[in-house]
Amino acid sequence: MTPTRLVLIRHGHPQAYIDQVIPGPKGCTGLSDVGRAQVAALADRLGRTHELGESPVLVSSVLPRAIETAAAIAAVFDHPEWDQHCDLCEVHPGDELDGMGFAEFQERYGSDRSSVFEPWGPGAETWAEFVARVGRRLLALVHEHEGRTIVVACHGGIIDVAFRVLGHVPLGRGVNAQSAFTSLTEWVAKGDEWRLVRYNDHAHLEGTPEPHA
Amino acid sequence: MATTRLIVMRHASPRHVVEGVWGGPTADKGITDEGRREATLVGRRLARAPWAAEVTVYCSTLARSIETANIVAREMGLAEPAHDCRLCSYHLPPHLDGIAVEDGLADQIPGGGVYKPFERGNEPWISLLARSGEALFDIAQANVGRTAVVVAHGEVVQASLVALGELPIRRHFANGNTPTGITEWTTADDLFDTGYPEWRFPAWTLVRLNDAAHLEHLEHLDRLEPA
Repeated sequence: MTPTRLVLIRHGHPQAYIDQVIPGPKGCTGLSDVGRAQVAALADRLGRTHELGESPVLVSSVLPRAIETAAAIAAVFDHPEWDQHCDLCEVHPGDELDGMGFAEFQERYGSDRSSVFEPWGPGAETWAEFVARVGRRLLALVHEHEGRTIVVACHGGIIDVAFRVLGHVPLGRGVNAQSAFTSLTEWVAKGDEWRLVRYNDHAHLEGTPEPHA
Repeated sequence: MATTRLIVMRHASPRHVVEGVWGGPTADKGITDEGRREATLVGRRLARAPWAAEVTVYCSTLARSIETANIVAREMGLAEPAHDCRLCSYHLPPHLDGIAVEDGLADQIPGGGVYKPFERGNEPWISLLARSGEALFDIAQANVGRTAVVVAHGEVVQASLVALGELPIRRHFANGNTPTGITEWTTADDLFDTGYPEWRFPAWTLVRLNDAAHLEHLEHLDRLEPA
């Protein structure tokens, strides 16, 4: 049986980080110029190395920064279409916070909440809810595409959740990680066990403009 | 605080694996020709990093680690590596050093595991973890604000997940351990501000695990083989 590979690729640097706004469905306006250069470097790498095989399953979230990243990956493999799932979005900020400036958010709602069961702002999803919905979707993809290479164009939070879902890392406190834009994180199923083959491989960003993470 | 960085990697492809034996101090015959190529590639890659000029290289006292580290240091234009026996793989007793892998696995003690050794006379995982974890903290504290490259063994990379990442002693997932795969940890915290009365401890960030992009010539499935 060919092992199932789950390759999680974070989106490129988003325009919303330059505009300093919370990037939900309203606030996300796709990639910045830096992000587009990062995605181009990723595509160049994937076309050269064939490290994702010849015909992977490609999926993405529904947010523009992930869709743009997926489009560049799709072009490498000549996939004109791919499935988009809202379950693969970053933590849902809710209508009130989506698009709000970082400074305004900080002024009105202050810093982090400590509990994984509390929202980080009014109307936002909790970390526990986020882990549940992303974990459910990741496992559904794995069952649906057993034995294939599944490439997920997604977000840093999805990569964090995979540590919980596949690595059984505790919900609230895990390894302190910082995934780079367009980085590759790869999990491979070996029987009932998952192997973290690599985390945050962003070698293709060497020599490209910052920020990388 | 300035960033303190630890690069931890498994040695390059070793000869004892080709021979199908466990490689203790006697049976370890160093690395293969392919291993020398891997070590050269990772050394050249690390030499391009912005922090590469001020680096100290460390290795264990086993031949495969020393040989790899020597090549890495040479490619980076650095002084010879410092040897530390706490960075070794399992400290094998003489009767297991050089034993065929299948014979060693067939002779495991029933009930062995984390706190008891898997094989008679061998070191248990918890002991390896304690001494290699201590070595990693000593190395970090000797290189505050700088970078240390630790060329060691797959077990030391795994120990870093526990010692620096605070993951459980027995994890529920395996990790890739490609020869010369780069695992990177950073912290900007004060490495000496620990213990009484605040009981603070530095928080480390896993920057990457088993990044082997310098080995593009390898077939992908080679990356999946355990240490």
